[in-house]
Amino acid sequence: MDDEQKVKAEAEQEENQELPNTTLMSMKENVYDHLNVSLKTMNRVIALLVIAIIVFTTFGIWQAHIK
Amino acid sequence: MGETKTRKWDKERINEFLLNYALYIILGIMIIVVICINPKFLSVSNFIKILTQASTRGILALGVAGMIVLAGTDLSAGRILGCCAAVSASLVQSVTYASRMYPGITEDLPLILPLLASITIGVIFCMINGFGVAKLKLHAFIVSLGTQLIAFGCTCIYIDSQEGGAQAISSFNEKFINFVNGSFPIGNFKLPYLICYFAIAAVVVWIIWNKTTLGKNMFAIGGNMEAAAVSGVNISRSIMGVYLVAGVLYGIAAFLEAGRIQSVNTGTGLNYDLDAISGCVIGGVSFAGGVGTIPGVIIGVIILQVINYSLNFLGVNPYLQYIIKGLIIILAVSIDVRKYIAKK
Repeated sequence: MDDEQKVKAEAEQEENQELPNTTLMSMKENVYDHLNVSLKTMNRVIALLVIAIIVFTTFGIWQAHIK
Repeated sequence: MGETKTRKWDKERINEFLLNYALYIILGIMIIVVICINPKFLSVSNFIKILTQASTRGILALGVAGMIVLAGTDLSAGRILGCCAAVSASLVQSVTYASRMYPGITEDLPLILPLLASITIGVIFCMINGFGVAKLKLHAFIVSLGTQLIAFGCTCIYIDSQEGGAQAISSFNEKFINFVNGSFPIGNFKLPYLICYFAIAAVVVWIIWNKTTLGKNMFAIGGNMEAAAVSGVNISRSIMGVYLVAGVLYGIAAFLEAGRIQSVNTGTGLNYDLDAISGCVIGGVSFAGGVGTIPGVIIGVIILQVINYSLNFLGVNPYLQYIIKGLIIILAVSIDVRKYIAKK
């Protein structure tokens, strides 16, 4: 009985291991799949862009109104 | 210990919020700054002007959005609009205008004819794009790049074919001008027809996206083409359907834009596609495919128009405006990428 249960458990384990592979294989290939960028890096990029937008807009307003 | 964890968690949540909504926060700050510098910005008439300017771009964006949901794009939208606008404009010139393109037309044509002509040309160009993407499996970027140049060439040839040479097509009949630029009086202000046309187009496209098989197939293909194919979706037919809808929308947008600007030349439609794509991206339509909503597209287009209008209102150097708009577009895409990475 124990052997049978062990065999069953092993078979279930193998099945479960297969599932993630199938899932991975069926994952869509999309525009962002090739990206190998960390979340931290993207956060820094976004922060940099925000600062750049604020700087350029402020410069533009200063040029138009104060200069 | 518990308190430190709660503080860290709150800080993380705030950071998450700031990063995901950076674009809307910047827009909010911009509007506040504009209002502080010039309180006249906050008026109903300005808001209506912004919506009116956003209307034709919005109809164009509704067409482009479908292609972005399919994980593609369309760089030819602006030039197709220009071509359609040139043809429809040439058919609505005033019969009393001596230098009109078709002197043989001695009576005002029913407006449905130039509209249908505009839609037909839009559909033809979009079908070429759709054929390239659906049947030849070419990338939408490349196909639309080619179609963009073809449409521009056709526009230039058409406008150049006038007897007087390559002059702007203008002097439209009153019926056409009133149809496009008229307004409903509501209380103390007037609601332009253009905003109504945009609203009708948005409702129709919403129905297509959410209540028809084509819409469901579009999201399925954009989300996972292989899974959609396995589920029995006719990929080619669905893609062609999306491009057909886009062609109709481009034709309508072109017809209305010709009336709005009241003069069509070879430069009409230049960079309109970039505005449309930017509006879609800002409104949350993901380049990854399979994600997008009509309210998002509308909000994105209006946000872009508000940014344009605010920067003009503040008198910011036009060349600097290009830089700011470019940065905003990159920011919108970066936030989209960040959401994808966070999900992974």
